[in-house]
Amino acid sequence: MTDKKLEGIKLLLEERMLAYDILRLAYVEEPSREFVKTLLNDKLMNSFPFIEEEEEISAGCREISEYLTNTDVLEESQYQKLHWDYTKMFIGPYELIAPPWESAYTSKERLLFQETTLQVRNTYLKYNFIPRHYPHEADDHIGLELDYLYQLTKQTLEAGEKNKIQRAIQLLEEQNNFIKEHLQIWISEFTEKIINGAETPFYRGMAKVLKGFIIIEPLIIKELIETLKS
Amino acid sequence: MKGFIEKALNYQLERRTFLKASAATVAGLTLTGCSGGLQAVSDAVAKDIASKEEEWITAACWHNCGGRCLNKALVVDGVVVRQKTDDTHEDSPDYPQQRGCARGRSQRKQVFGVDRLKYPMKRKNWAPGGGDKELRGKDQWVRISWDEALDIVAKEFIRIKEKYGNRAFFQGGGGEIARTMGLLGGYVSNWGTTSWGSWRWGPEKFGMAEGFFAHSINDRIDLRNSELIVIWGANPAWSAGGSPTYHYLQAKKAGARFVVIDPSFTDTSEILEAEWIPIRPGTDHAMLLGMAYTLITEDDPVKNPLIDWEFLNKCVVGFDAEHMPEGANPEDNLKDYILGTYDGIPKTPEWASEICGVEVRAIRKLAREIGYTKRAALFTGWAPGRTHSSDSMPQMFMALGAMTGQMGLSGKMTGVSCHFGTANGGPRLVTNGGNGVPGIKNPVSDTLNHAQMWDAILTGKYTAGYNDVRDINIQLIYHGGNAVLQTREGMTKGIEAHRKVEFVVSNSHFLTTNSKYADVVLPATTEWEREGGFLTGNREILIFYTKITEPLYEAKDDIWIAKELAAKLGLDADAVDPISAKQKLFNQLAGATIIKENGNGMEKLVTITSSDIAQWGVKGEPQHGRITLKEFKEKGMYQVPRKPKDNYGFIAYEQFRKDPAANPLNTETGKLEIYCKGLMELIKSKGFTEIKPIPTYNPPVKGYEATFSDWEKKVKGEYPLQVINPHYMRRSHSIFDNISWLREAFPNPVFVSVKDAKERGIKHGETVLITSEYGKTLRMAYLTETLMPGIVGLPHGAWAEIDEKTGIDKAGADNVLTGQIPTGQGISGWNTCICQVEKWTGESLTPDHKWPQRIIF
Repeated sequence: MTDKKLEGIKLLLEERMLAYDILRLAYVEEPSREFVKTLLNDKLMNSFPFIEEEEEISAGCREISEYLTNTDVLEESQYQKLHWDYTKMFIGPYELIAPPWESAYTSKERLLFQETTLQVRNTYLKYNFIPRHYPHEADDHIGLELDYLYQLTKQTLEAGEKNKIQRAIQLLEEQNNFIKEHLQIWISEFTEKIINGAETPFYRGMAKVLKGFIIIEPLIIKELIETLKS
Repeated sequence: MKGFIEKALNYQLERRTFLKASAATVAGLTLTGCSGGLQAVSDAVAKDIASKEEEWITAACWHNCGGRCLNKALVVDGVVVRQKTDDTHEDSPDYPQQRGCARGRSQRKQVFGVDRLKYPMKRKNWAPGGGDKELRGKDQWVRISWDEALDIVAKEFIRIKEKYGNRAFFQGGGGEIARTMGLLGGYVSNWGTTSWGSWRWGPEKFGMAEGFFAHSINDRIDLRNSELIVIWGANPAWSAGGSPTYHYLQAKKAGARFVVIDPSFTDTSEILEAEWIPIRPGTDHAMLLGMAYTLITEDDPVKNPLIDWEFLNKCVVGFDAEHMPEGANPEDNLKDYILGTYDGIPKTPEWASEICGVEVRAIRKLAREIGYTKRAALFTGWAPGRTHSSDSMPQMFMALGAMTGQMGLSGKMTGVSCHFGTANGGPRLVTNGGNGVPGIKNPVSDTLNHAQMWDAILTGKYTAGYNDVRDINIQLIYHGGNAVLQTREGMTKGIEAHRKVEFVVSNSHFLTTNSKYADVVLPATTEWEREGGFLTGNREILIFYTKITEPLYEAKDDIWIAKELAAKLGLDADAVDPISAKQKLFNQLAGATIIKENGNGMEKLVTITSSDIAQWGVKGEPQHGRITLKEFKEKGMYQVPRKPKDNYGFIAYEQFRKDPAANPLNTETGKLEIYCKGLMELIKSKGFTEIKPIPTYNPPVKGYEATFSDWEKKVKGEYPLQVINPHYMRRSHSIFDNISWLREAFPNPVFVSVKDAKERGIKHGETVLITSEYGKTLRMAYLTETLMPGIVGLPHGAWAEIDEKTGIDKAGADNVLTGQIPTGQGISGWNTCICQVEKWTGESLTPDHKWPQRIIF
């Protein structure tokens, strides 16, 4: 494999890492002022990874950018609105608008800690990861699933840098399987609920970006694996 | 389409720089530490977690459902893969399995529901003193840390105590927080007759048991000797899960004929092929009097013996002028009241029928049948007592049993047959020990009656006793484990009261009605997340359950909350929770007892070895019992095997009937008191309404008579229909109402008779508006011929969903229709409620299980 190709692979992995990093931060907890500030100052959403490659990503980013441009999100009442949007959809205490756990979708009964949770837990364990609040929090929270993919992408990048191609391929295959077996199962229903239930364009946009990214990911990973194999 | 890699390679320097910079900035954002993401662990830790195997663990099914069953969970590392029920032994009528119902089998759907309260939260517009109090129930919320939550609660406690004193604290329920509040100087508590209605405190005065802690009926195996079983106002098929209905079925198979007196033809009636006698709610007393009239006027000791004179003469006071207690006016006897000797109104079946709606000949026929049947069982549930002004009704029920002598012998019994004790009376055969925790006194003596407490908070006055109205100024409401805003009468007033005070805090599993109107909500663990415990149900079983899973998210045990709060308040936290959870569990095990094989007295249940004690890390002494600790934990239940003629049977009043002088009852006279001064004084002492010492009929507030604007001319009033609240299989009181598959299986309609529906142009399945003087609620109408016309069945316990704009509830919450009406012994009179039903012209309800998300704004 040429250095050039390796360079391309590296760049692509960095793009993916950035995407996962932003997304996991967006979903794992309530929006911090720092997070919003970062998105705002660096105009990150205007240059979000794969923004030109995927329509949903592009639409979502546009929505978020416009919102961040037109609304003073750091002003108290607007920030509270954004904060409540997350709380209401993903934390409670009213009935959750978009439960952020895979098992809530695979169980049909909106349940936590189901067989899906165990499968996800066991997948993380293969790479020695557990949720920081194990066993009190369910492993298949969207923020954790995205964190897992972030971690594996990071490991792939590290493997690539050390020229451990087989390891990199194996890590990518793992990511691919995880996306297919888990995220793709529930992400469209989950993001649909956010798109219908969010009050701020921020989370509507984030939902579209997440959906678009999970759609496009297998294609990117496929190309990465094929290139690494060649 | 170009490949992603090729595209990336075409990136300009700008993109590359951007990527690097952004990655660094984003990575620099630290999570605020609440959620935390993933963490890396060692191979050993990962391997240990991954290798956890599945095991069956006995799971608590702890609700107040009227039954008790064995529930087990197949658990892998805190995840419940499936549940099962009792398979610890073969099932037989004598030794039945304790099998669960749809609710118990949904238990994991409750514990693991995504809508569990996971973190402490505060109402966004809360501020010390309440902030915008009107927003309670519709505000936004913010997740906060435990430290902040406990800080807020402690500061409000201190602020309010300084400003108003301890009499401003109202404790909604929950024994744990009561300990902390006791140490803090006390609190205003609450009291009421809850499920018992007028069966709560009256019966002990006239010589009968209330039916939960003690029973006046024989045990289930003796019940097979009854030839006639009359069930008055009870539907165990719905309201007492587990084996009760099965026990009735055994009596049926042994040849008993069943008669059920109830406003509706119930599943119990159907299973038992019972004769159904439809009756209006709150009028049972009238029918009882009509029956007594029949017995008195038709009895002939020789030709037609209907009355057991020997029993009356020997065991009862107050039936006639010749058997009055000392000091009583001889005219105040039941017989003369029934005959109308002094008031000019004979309580004939015709008189009764006009009130209760039962056909005259049915009244006469049942009276005669009970009179001439050698061995009859006269049973009642508590439902007829959950009526206003009904303090004398239980006494009249006893009088019927006493007159016909259906007491104290095999196959003959009279009393309450419901809840755990349905069809199976007698003392417990197996029971757990105490946990060893000493009580904490509440220095404040003020206590508010359920039927008056919301009004008291709103008006600042409450009835403390006869001619004793006191001022009260509640400013803080703490809800531990309870559901009083949902399940006590007068919810609309209750919500208003919650919006009036300065601070409301609530521990709960979900955003229950209590929590919805609070300022701070604290997530509590369910029994599945706790160390373990014991459950009793029918007298033959003791269930020993243990922890299924770790506390979900930041949920904590109620006792932890109480203890931590005590620490914040500068109180002695160890006094709140002086014994470890493990030691408490152990103490209950060590103290568990079982009936001796000869039936005389109790002995230790569990064998405990010194190695058990060491393994548990607790203090204790080895002991010898019937079952090893290991086996008890594995089985999860000890059930006393029973068979006919064993040593564990029970005949209520047996010794008393044989020799009342040697075995007096715990009444003033030692006998059954149809004339009962104690009862009259008890009722008077409460300060609400008064009764006579003999069971005279008092038309109930909001009863059938109240549906008329002109009773004499039979002109119906504004609220012409009567409401009853059947216990419904979807819920145990209010618990489980949010479980979607139960919602789907049990859609929670309002039951309307075909006749009433037709008169109102209501079709089956249509949404109807139910209106009372106190509130409005919507439900889908379920048209039925099995309900007596004039009566509406609104199932008990649905979680209120009040439209803030219209004030109309759409969940069918029973207490939206009830008011704060204190009568007699402080009865919660849910089954005396009157309403109107009309076709709803607004948007139709969708089935509950398909309800859109709860979007408030």
